[in-house]
Amino acid sequence: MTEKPPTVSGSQGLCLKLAKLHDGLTTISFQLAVACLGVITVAYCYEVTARYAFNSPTVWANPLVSYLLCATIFLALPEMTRTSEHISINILIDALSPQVAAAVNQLIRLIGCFACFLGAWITMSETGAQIVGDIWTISYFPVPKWAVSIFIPYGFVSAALYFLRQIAGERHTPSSAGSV
Amino acid sequence: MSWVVALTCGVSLLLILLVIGVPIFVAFLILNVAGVLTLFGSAGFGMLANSMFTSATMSALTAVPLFIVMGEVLFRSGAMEVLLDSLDRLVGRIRGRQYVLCILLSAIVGALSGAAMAVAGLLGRSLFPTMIQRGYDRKLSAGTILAGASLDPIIPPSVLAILIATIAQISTGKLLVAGLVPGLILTVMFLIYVAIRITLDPTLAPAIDEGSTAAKGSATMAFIKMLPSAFIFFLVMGLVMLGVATPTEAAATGVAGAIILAACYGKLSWRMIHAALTSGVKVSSLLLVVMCCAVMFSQLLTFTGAPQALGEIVTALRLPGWLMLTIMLALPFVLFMFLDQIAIMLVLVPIYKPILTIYSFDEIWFFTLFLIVATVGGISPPFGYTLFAFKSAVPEMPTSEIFSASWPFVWLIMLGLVLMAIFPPLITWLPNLAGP
Repeated sequence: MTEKPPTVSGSQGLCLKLAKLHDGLTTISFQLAVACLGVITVAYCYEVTARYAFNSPTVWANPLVSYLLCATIFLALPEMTRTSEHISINILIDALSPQVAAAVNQLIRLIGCFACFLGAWITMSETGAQIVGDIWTISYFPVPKWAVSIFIPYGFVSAALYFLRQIAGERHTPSSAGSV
Repeated sequence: MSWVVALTCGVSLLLILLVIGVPIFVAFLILNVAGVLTLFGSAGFGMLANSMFTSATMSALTAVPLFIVMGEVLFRSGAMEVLLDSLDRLVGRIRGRQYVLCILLSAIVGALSGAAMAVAGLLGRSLFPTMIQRGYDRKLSAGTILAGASLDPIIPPSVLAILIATIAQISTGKLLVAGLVPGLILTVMFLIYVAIRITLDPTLAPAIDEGSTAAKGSATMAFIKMLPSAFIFFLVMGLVMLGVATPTEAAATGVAGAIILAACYGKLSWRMIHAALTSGVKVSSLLLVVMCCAVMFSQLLTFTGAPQALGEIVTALRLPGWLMLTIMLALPFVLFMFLDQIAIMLVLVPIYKPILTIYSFDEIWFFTLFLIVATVGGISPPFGYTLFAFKSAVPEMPTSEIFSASWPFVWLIMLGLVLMAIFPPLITWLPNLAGP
């Protein structure tokens, strides 16, 4: 006797598709973060060579690297949340019974979700103000400030969604790496 | 709101969140949002967003991912195996050679990676079973691995040193360089301790005839084989010491050097570079997102007037310098046993800064001592988390045995700490030689 595949309702199917889209976006953004770190390395190596070998320092390397650092951190944030790799102290959770630990874990995800949505709202408001005010970075290599700061709300929104998905029970990856 | 109430409420909230297991970046984010709301209302949110932006675009912090990538490339290039073989040959036929090898290897790995937990896990899985198999004492073997791992965040390049320097707003290059001599002093102290233990109790190590050094080639050749990796280390730290390049630029140069070395060893590939960069992104984003969410805490602290008020209290107490230093190091020593290093640093460093000025403590000297305390906290029972990294690698060893294995080395590091506190030039002379 063969087992019937579980039926998926319309709303569940949509949720699964959205989750898949979210995961896909996270994978792409993480790979972009890796690429940004590669560019940072190349830019600084070029700067060191140009400055000390040819006495011709660039004006763009330092600001470019600082912009890319912001992108690297917040493009990687969703992946770190998806895999529950954030640094935390798990001494208490480890000492609790599995049932209580599960409840505490849900509470942690709820707090994480709330904090990340809050962080996203605060930083998005600021990014919006930068767009409206046409504010540029102050450096030898100026760019619109929102083009750099936009990565911060992106990282927070996506991380908040992962916390939400973990609350909904879609993923139960126990936090291990980076935990104490 | 008075600064006492603000500080007590803030630290209590942070501790509660951390203890229940909330990710550290989330805990600091909530703390700072609550602090901004209390002090300025929602009008202060722009300041919080700008604080995150400023931290995330601080180019000095780029040294963190770059040093991690450098270590990753060196690990994957086969340089580690070459170093291990060379070291194995150079240590030669002495009683307890595996203890010596373990400590020296940890010191060298520290120069390449700087992560105590990773090294404790790595050596726990690889070196520890070999040592037990060859008849080395279980407790002393575990102790040397834990002690060796604790050297890693002290010996440059150290990610922890970069983070402390950034939070404390002191020279990253000087703090990095400052860790070199203390790291070497502690290495020598560990070696002397092991030698004394073996002399007093020869049963702690097997007889000398284990393995044959002749099969491993000449000592000169072994030394020559170590030179490329050593060159990269001295290239990186030399550039910083001479003031030729910033730590970030030196780190990028180190990555380039490591890639060239990997090419020489025939291990260079896109896959390897991608894996190293991926690891660099993972580790550094975990650390730096905490920094971004937490830096506002020190600004809020200033707004409450806490540092100034604490400064006045400290001045009124008129405690002798040595006692104040002891208190300032004892507090993190206890806290580091229970809580994350970065979280404690982010809270304590802004509080300590004005006290350092009052007592005219050299900042590089003090924060190097602080760095050593942070690392010793990692191997101090009952909650030092390097201990847990080792335990996860060696699950069959009882926790109580691991604890008793680590204690002698905790006291040794404390002895080293006292020496460095009494004789500050042990820490400061090398950074003072360095360029600006």
